[in-house]
Amino acid sequence: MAFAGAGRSLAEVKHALPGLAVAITGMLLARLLVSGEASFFVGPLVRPLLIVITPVLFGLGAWQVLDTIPRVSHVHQHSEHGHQHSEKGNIMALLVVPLAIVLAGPQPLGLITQPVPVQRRNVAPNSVPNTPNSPDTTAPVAPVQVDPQTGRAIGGYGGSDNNPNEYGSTRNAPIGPEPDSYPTLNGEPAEIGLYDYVQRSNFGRLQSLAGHKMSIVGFASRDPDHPKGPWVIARLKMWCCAADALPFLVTAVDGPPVAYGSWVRVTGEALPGLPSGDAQFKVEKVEKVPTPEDPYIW
Amino acid sequence: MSRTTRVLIGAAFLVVTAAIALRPARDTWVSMGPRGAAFLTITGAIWLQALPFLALGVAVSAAIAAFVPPRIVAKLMPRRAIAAVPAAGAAGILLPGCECASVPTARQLMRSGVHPAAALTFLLAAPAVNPVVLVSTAVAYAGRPGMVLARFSAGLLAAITVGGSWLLLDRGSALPGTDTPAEVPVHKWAIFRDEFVTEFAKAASWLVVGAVVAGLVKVFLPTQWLTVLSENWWLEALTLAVLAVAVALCSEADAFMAVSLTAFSPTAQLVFMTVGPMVDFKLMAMQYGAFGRRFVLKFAPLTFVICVLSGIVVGTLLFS
Repeated sequence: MAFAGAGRSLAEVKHALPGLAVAITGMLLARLLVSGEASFFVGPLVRPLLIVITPVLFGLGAWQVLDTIPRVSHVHQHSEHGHQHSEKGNIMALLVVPLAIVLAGPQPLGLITQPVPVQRRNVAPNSVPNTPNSPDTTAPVAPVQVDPQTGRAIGGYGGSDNNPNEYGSTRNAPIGPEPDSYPTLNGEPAEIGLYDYVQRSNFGRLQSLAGHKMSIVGFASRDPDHPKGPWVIARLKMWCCAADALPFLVTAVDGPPVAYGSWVRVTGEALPGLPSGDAQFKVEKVEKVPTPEDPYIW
Repeated sequence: MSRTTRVLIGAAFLVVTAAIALRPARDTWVSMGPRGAAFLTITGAIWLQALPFLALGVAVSAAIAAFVPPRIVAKLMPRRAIAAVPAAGAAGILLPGCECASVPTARQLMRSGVHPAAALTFLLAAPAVNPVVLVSTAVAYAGRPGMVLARFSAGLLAAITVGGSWLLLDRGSALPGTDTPAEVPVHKWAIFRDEFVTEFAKAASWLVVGAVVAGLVKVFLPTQWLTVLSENWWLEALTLAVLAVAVALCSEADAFMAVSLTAFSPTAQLVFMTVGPMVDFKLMAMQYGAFGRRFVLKFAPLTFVICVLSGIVVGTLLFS
């Protein structure tokens, strides 16, 4: 009697599991959306779609869990001699991976209280722009795939693969055609987007900014082409998700040492781009800033 | 539901909810070093960005399963497989999603009695030639509309050729997991829910395999070999074809990656965009989950070869 009961329970659990998996996926999405961490992974085109599917996943999953018995026969009808027999064990166990990714705290803003091993490792003995003795080892780390040691996008395809004649600076992703207009800058110092600055530099439109104080937000990184030279302010441009993000860089001329990977606001003045197409910026002040809500350019 | 079941499910749910809320491992990310952190971000990103499109595909297929009787679906398609294959290729224009949406939809079409070769043509064509993908290609290749036409032509050509070859190779034998379910008198929305939930849970899990592999490749495989191989025209096309399989980008975003590969010829870039939506690690994982190992072992190499050839043929015709 008890044995039969256990068997039935097992069947029910097996049937409710997909519902549980889907509802938990919905909760993961909700967590990422509410905390804003979704923007570390996907761009503004995908985020609204995630917002739409989150309640759908949670609702349908929960409904499945709560209402399994009458429908058990239906699903078994085709699963028994069909698509499920390629499975040994349960494939849904793999959902532990995205669960672990969320639990690992993507870009834990302001929550790191002990020294960050990443930055310890980044301090190469002979590197020029490092801060081995910086008291601030708690800076947030860029949630992006640039290796701050080399400044290269990890696994990226920008940089030297580009044709300089067509796309400007070889260390950047392709910049494309010039925009019809540039955003108006307000205030002194005016906040200018890193991509905006790189575009103006690339197309020779920096004259109008001469004499104005500006600030740029990005993360500090090593220049991929000149690893021993001044560090660069970096930002990645994303189209769909972090897997397709590519870097844009501005050399921080006269910038004081900062920890690689930390997000900074640099204030200073425009400098003309180099013949190579690389953009540069005269730095007067560097402040650490929290990781922006939208860390990528899009 | 029995009491034991309820306790088990409830306990599992509570544990996971608590874990998500409290985040016991929240500093792991920064302790992993730049590469480890990048791996987590990229893997998570590929998985996350695919979910909405997966949900769309699963919803379409669940809706067909629940609300459209199989005989009506079969009626929409030409009866003869020879005519159904190109028709399915053209129908691919209608599904505004990426490749993750097309796997469940194609399987449902087969269940509804559509010829496997036609359903597979749809599976390949939909992510390659739909309007969203073409628009994103036009945006990436601003000022070079030839690439949009080339992508459309190469994609459709490859999809229909694979469908035709499948017709010859497989003679219409049903794939595992595609037999028509008996009609059970249950509430239609409950069928929809059942189909959606079981399909989504499984496909999202297989997607994890693809995302992990693509993340590993992208982060840990040195990319210098790419430029070394870009000296000979067919070698560079083959290189980008392999890269497309490895990086497993969404077909709605791969044009932006393709345009950044400026060391390669337009034809090689076209091959990248033809292969990517049709054969890559995450698709292979999803197809393995849907149709089994034997299918993938046969279908993936066939598709790969035909995609590379279509890209080279169309590229040579249009760009030289």
